[in-house]
Amino acid sequence: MLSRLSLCRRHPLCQHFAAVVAASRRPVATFEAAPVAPLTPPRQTPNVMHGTRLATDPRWRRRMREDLYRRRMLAGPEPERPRSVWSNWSRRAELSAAAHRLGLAGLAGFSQQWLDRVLTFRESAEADGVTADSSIAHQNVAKGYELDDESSDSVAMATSSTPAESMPRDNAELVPTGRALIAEHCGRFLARELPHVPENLREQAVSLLTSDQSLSFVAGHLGLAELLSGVDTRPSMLPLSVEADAFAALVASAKLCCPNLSEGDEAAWRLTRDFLLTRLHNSDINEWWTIDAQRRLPLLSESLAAAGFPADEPLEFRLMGQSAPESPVYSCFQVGLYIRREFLSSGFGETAAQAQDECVSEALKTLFDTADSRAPMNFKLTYADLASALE
Amino acid sequence: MSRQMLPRVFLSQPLQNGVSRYTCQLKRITLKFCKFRPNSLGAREFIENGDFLEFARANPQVACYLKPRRNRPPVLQAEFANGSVQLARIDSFPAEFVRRWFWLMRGRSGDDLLPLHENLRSFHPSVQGVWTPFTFGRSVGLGDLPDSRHRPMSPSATELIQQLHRLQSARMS
Repeated sequence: MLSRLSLCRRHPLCQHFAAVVAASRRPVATFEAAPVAPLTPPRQTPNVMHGTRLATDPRWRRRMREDLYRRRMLAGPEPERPRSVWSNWSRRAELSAAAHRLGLAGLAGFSQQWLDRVLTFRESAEADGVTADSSIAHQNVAKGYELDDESSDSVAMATSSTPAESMPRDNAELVPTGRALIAEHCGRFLARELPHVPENLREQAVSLLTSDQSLSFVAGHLGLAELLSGVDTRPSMLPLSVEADAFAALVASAKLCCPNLSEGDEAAWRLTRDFLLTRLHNSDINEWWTIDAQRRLPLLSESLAAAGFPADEPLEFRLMGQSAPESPVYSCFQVGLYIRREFLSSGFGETAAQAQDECVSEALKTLFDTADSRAPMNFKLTYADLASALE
Repeated sequence: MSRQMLPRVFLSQPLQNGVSRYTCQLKRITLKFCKFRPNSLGAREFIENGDFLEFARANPQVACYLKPRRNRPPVLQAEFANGSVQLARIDSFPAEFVRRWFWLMRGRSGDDLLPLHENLRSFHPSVQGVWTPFTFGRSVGLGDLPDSRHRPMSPSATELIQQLHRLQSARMS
């Protein structure tokens, strides 16, 4: 007696679906998929269809669905592909949209071709043997989805007003300029907003802000990762440093493309301010640096000396409050720090020693003006304000 | 799924959008429709009325695509800056509804639609400082025993003898 499952497998719909699944395993575009280890079918495939019963489906169709699901799971995941292989992609349109999204479309001297070069990394321009002028045209023609349109953008792209010689072929020179510019912007901003914080702590914050991880996070959220050319833009193959370099190149390009120097400075500063420095908003600024436990008390003494308290003035720690004797469950100690009989800070802890450490941290926050009660940072600063603050 | 089952999230914006500058989070939008089937009629009218072009012109920061697909229901695919993709099924929708979905996607951030803990969020909810038991200088749970504020339920042995002594003195005197 033939089993119902074997009947199911011979059903034409089932065979059709199996053929579709087999076809989906072939690469869709001329794109080499990353090598994937062959899957060994698990002993029991998870079956989400179990327990779900469509009342209208006859039993044979229900079993067919379960079988199809099992086959699809065995066929393995879809190969990872960059966004550009799908048909709803036009590099020209994407660059234009990105330029508007980043607020760079209004800048004099900024064009899609310029943005294309900014997001081009060196390998592709040499490997494909494509001249820099026709990089956009080549990709669009290769896609085969070039549509006629009356907009002037395509005309401007073909015959760019800016001579091709003045445009760089790729962003290799823009990247270090951009990185330096971003670090300078961050350093200046923090120097202006946190004048009482020692410089080594500010430098820690700047290095965190300008790290590859931070910059690539920003670049990803701006949609730059999909627009890169010359690198493998699949998320698993794209290193963080490349995305970070893309953002750096963008900042440098905003400065360099403008013939007017101050406009370029302002444009580059706004990119850093609006996308990178706003990461400091709604975060505890004290989390952006670490002070060693041994270093806290000496740092406090130095800060007090800088604030005008002489070095020989003793720091007095006094027990301000205690809830229950010292025990791991109920105890809460409040210790206050006094200098010259003036209250400086207080701290809580499970033991008096912990409360004392907390007290020192709070005192440092008070002296550095990084407590919760400080004024919020000013993210509307212009480049002129920033430059003037240092003088 | 009911609201009790869904996880709750806090109000947030990707990349602190709006603090310094507002960036439209919609990167590209694709209208997939069929040229013949009646359930795509609204989508086709939306295109033919010029509303699609109007949206594209009003939003240069969004890349707009049209994707005719035979024998498939119409779908709106919106891709956002945080990488999320949202699909809106516009099966048999009138053109006006398609237009509203387009403009709705334009205003979204791409975050999942989940219930919020609160409709506002602040990292500095307290201006004067959060109350603690020690705020007004109290020490809680300390003291020497016996404390006169404590009322014993029954007299202690010492107090019983003292009471007996007082009674006896009263009788004797």
